[in-house]
Amino acid sequence: MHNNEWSLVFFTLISQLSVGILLMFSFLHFVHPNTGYSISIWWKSPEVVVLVLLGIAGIISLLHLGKPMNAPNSINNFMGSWISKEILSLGFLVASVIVLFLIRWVILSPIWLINAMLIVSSIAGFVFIYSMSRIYTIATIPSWDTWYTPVSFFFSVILFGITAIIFMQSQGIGNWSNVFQTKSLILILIVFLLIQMGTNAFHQYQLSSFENLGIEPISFTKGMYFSLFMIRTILLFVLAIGFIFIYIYLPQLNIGSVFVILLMLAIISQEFIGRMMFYQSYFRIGV
Amino acid sequence: MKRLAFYYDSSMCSGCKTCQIACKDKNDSPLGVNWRRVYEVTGGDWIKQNNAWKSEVYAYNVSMACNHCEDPICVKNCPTHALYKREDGIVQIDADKCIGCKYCAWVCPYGAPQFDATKGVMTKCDMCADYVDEGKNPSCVDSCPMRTFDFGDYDELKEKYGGEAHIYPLPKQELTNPSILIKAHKDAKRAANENPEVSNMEEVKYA
Repeated sequence: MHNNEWSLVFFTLISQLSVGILLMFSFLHFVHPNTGYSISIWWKSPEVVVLVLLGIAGIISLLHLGKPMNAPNSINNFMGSWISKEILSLGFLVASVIVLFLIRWVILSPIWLINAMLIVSSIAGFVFIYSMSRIYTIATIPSWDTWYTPVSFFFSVILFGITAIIFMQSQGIGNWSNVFQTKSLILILIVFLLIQMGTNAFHQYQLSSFENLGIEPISFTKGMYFSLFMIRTILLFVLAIGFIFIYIYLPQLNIGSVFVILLMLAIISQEFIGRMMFYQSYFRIGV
Repeated sequence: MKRLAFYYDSSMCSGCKTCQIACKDKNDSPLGVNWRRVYEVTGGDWIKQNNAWKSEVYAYNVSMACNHCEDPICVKNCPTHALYKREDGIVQIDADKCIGCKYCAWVCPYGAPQFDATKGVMTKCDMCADYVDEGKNPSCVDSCPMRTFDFGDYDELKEKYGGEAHIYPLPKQELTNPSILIKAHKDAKRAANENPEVSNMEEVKYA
């Protein structure tokens, strides 16, 4: 992996985390309004957390540029370039979340307006992640130009979103006592972890069938890439087992335990490994 | 709209890399930035026939720079419009607009755009646009001691030489419709079936 791609790894992961929190917050707001985010000022307004994360992601993204001072030019080609579309949708997302924050906590608008703005912000988040994934679907890079790229980007958003909410609840923020809600979230998480394992394996199978199309040797079935794939698969398996354990023993289990924190760290680790694998899988047609 | 293009005779090329050096010299490119590169394709093996060993090895060179494609994937994907196409078909970079995101280097199947760390922007072959404006040939074309290059309007070159754009290890021309015509080496077809290695990758990357 080239040095400049580290900043892209962190930019992508933090962006996915922030959009995941936003989407999960919207989901819970509409499906289960009495979520009980009232203990911490931070979680009283998750918009602040989303904005801080997007701000950090934006600053990190500048690190991979050769000329960060020219960064405003990056929206010039919004009709043709997915990078321009991504930056514009990021701007729209930030603006919509700021408006959401203002109408919830400063202007104290009616609930219908808050609901409408929450939907607008969620759509902006969705468009942002979609644009981000399209940057990597390039005809000259066959290993990226597959169904897996957009799917993996949205899977990361969902996993991060659910994980953040469960983590928050495990730390006493929100309404952990609502066992039904938490169990539902854990169940969804387990299902996504298993689907993730399946899609990763199928994608790995497809990659291994690629023939040499460029001058660089391709090695998806050995070396660093394959080692990372195996580590990630093991982590996903352990996570699925761990969350099944929590699901079964939820009311009795001390959910704020080290066990839960370790599982959260494992989720972050496997996502991090996933991004590293993604950049490792880069190979281009031609010379 | 005019379409300026290179013609390159791979069957004649000795791999001396004078074109590469002429380009580097003309454009004052730093170490690691090679707008023109010469790839050495080597393949085949020695085959045992009874008590004798027969050579079935082959080698040929491919000199490659930006091909100023008709459908340039770099221009299409550049977020800043720093990459643009001139009226005569030359694809250029406006360094004042470039953010140095390196996306063009990711997508170009010819490895043409290259990052100049000293300037913080992408750089690439501009067909020696200043020479072209003066009615001269690009420096690589005139420097070749084997006279493997020619330069001019695509249609005129096509009529004069024929040629193709897709020889191993270059990508299929449908991807970007490159403005290059190549006379293939006799072993290029065999190489396309065998996927031999490019034996001077280190030189290509870091020279």
